[in-house]
Amino acid sequence: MSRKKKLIIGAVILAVAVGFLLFFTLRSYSVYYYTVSEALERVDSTQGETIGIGGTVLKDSLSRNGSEWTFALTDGKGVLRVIHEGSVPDSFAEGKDVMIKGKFLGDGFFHSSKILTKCPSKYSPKD
Amino acid sequence: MADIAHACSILALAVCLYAAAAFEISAHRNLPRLRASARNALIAAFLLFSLAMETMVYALLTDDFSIDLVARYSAESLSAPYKIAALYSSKEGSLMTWGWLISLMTVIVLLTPHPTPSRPLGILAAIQAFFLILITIVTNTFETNPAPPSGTGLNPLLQNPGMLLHPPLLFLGFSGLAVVFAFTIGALSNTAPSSEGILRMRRWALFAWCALGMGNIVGAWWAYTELDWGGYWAWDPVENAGLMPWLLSTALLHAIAIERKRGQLSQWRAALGGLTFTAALLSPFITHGGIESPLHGFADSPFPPYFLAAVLITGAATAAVLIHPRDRTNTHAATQFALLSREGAFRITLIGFSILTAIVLIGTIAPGVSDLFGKRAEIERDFFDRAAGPFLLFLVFFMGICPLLGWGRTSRAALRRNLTFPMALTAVAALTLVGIGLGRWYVLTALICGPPVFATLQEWLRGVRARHRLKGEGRLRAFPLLIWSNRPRYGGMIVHLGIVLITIGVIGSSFYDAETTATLEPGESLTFKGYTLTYEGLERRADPDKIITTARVRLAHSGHSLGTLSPQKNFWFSQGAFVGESAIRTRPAEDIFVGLSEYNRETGSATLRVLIHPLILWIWVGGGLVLGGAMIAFWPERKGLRNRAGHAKVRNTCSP
Repeated sequence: MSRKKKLIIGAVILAVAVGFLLFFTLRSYSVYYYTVSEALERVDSTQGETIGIGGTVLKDSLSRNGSEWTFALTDGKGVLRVIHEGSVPDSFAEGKDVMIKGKFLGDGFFHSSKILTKCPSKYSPKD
Repeated sequence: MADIAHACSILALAVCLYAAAAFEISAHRNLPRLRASARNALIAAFLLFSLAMETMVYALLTDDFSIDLVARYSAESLSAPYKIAALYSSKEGSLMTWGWLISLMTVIVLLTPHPTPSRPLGILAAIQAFFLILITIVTNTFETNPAPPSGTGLNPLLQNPGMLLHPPLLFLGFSGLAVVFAFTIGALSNTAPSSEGILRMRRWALFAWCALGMGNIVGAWWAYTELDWGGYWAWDPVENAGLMPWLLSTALLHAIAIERKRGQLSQWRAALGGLTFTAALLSPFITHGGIESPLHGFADSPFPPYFLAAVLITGAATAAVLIHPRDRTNTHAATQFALLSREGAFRITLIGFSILTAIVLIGTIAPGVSDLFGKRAEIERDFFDRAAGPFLLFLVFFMGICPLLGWGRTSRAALRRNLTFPMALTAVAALTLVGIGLGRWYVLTALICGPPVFATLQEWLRGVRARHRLKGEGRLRAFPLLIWSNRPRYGGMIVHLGIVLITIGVIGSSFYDAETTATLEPGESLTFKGYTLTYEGLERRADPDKIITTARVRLAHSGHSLGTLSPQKNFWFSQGAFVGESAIRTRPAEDIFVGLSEYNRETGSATLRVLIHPLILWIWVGGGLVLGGAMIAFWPERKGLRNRAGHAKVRNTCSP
């Protein structure tokens, strides 16, 4: 076999190996994001799986007990009750658009472990 | 005012379009007068563009709020440097700055004594025209406001020295890459570039690489000191957008090095020379919202489709250069190489960096791509750590082996002679760390970073000894002379040492960081990892633009006082929001980072977030070393220097 052929075969094997590795790593570190109503349809099917949900914090729904926050998230159609344990960003408040990450555990609440406020942008001034 | 800037930009656009067309025509026909007029057009475009820039800067400095951009991004209360920074904190202004820098680089290319072929200049003119179209036709950067409000001000997070350095450095790097791209694509019309051409390309690539590297490091430092989050790198899409061109330009520098030395890998060099700029154009596509980014980015920007088109066009142009049949007489040696040689090692380096870039790219665009298929998936940070981390560590390790391999072929005996000392010392270092009882990641760090460090030391010692023997120079004097004798090589080695320091800092601060949060009443203290933090109380003070709340925390480590830290949580009127200002005490072994998460004005209690980041200081020191090494490598070479007999002799003794 010529040197060039060997090199090409080596390159192809390398590319396939890296491709497979990447694909599976990518799969195991993806978190799917849903709107509130999409998430409500998946309460049972995604139970125990980490998912993300985007929505607006409902007015007059936020309460706090130590580091545990409870609030309701809405997308205008459905309403989801959320328990969040841990810190929240400075700009977290009622009426804000947020992305939360967590799991359904079968008790009707979405247990969130991370809240990201959808800031308009780091660069843009507030309008 | 705005009209002047607007008119200048439109004139500059017209002039650039003329220059692009004129250069393209003179690339095909010998028309010296047309070429001369196109050159003048480029200079005129630069002057017009500069006038437009100056007008905007003047408007910012004089608080001319009748210009919309000034009103939206600046404020009277800002200090002068931040007023100027307000220009590139806007989406239009950032493109204006970038375009202007490309114009500046073009003029520098024109003014260098070596003649530049027509096509690269035409390409540079076309790139400038692209930016001018974006800032004048797609949006009007110079929009005026009939009823001027007072300025809204710059986002407080941006009021940091990092803002004065990080974006301009990245734009500078991207502009340098535009020149590299133009030279690469310009090679389509003239056969393989001469050695002079390669040398020029190297200088521009090195310049761009250095600016990008510094831009990224400053960005990381800024995030660490300002963002009250305690980290310095989040694999955020916008960060990745700055990292990818740097990774590719690192590979490009290695491809250029081997092409200069051995006349090999010119295809790699051409591919990388084109794609680095494509990666640079991907950056605004991502930053302007082509891919949603949680941490930063511009909201509602009209530019992403244009940049996507630019990415596709530059990518296609690069492919065209690669496919284009060229003079192959001096490339037949390209496939002749031994794996155990520096040529082989450089190939592995190039492949390593390409795979690394591909991983970062895939992780960055995967959310956007999944969105197209209707189901949005976010990629967790861990993906990058898991997928890219091992490649990064491998490359650092490999960096140590590479200089030990000679050009052409390395005999086993030579390899053994070169490897014994670094490997033995590495083993000793690793065993010592195990003996002290440090964690396994530190031991791994020693195993990975040992070979590069000790191999470099060995090379330097040998070089110094050879000079001492052959030229009778004193050992202390011989060292700087040795470095100076082959600046690309030894400058590169210093850069490698800087990368090792950065690696040590990254491993220490990512695997051994610790965090705790505690709510303290005044007078109470908290003990964490050998530190005692005593909370003394809150102080409140009103500034014209914010209310500052400071927690005073006395810090001590095993009985020794380390002074007072003052983390703040400030309310900014212009933003109507709280922004934290954490306090950091830097020590050689670790940083202690204290943030004020919450406070209670009635009871005076405060919730403090305390983070320990081991070895983080060495990331910034390593960055400095990289800059220093790059400067040495960048220093102009005198022609014919490398062929001098005595010089070659000394070099041969250090790299058998």
